[in-house]
Amino acid sequence: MTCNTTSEKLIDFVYGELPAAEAAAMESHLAECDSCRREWEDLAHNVELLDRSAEAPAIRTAVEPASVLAAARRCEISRAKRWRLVTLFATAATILVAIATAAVRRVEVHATHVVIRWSASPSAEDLTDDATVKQLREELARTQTLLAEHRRRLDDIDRLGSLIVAELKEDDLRLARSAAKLHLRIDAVQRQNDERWQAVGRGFHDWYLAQVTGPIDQQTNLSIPATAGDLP
Amino acid sequence: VHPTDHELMRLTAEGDSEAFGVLVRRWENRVARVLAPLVLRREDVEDLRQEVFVRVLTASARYRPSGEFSTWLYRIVLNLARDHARRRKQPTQLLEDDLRGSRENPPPQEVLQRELTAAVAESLAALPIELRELLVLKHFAELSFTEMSQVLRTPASTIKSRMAVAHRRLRSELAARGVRDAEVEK
Repeated sequence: MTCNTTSEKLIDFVYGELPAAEAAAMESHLAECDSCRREWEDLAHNVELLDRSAEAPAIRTAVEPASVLAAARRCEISRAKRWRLVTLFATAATILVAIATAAVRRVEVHATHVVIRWSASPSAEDLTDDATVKQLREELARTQTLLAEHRRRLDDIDRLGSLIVAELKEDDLRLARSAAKLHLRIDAVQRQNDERWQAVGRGFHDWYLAQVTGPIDQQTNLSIPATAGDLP
Repeated sequence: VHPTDHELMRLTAEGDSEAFGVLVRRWENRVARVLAPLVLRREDVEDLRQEVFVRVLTASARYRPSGEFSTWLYRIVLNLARDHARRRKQPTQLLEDDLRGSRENPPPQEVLQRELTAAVAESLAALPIELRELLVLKHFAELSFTEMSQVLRTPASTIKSRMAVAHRRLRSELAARGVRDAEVEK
């Protein structure tokens, strides 16, 4: 008769994980089968040795929760920095594309991105109607508030930009290179906008330069062709 | 009343550092016990044990109490030990002190036990980490095959057949260090 006892069965048996009936059958088998008995003896020997050495205490010093907290905080900060970089560059890209176009109509701020919708600048005809001018001014005021908020984020980009160069490793430099592709030249578009918006009584160009381009110009010289239409 | 590991994790995620302290005290020895035969050097064990708890803390907000906390924790331990083994190109030379203890003039029986423990540790250390971690999870973490299968995300049947291979390899490493059956007799 050939023995078809598997190694897995013996492993189960030696660790006491075989159901009672099967364990009893295995015991009888071991009494008869020399090769299985030898393997079982070897296993039992190893198990005994391992259990005995596992009893030895490993380390007597204690983990200091405060130092774990400090180390975890460092991890979180570096991860947050990295994530913020990605978010900020995405935000900056969206704002810059939008601003390079004619007239901003509405800015929606989301957690990780900004949606900016725009239309054609007001026509001369629009500007003769008081109600339209009032509405346009209100829209501009709202846009200014929202973009001012993003001005703060753009300032962060400045700080993080220098951080990239100073601190980040190879992988992050790739991110920095992608960011450099966002270099935008907006002067021509803005001059055109300025002329149109001045009719509404507000120097959109000056305001825009003050609000947005300052930090960007210091850091980058982005160049994206201005296009008209709706941003998604 | 002792809070469960899941409760402690929830409190930790909410920023309760005391709860985290309780969790650390509860698990630090078990973590060290499993790490010791996997990373071998005492200083590495201490560093990695700290790293395990850093991971626990930073992952606490994402932690979902779907399975046993221990399964999740030992998975972190194994991942760190594997990374450590990968980083260390050279096989680790065990420090004499780490294996045999540094106490002077211990009683003869303790010497024998230490020698045996050292031989087992050296034999374990000679095994590739994939085989070693099976024996460690079974004997140092005292997990069942079902639990091991959850930690390793591998079917229990596969684990058992690999376990048989691990035992055979261990057996020959032990024999190479002159450990025979007689030494186990009490």
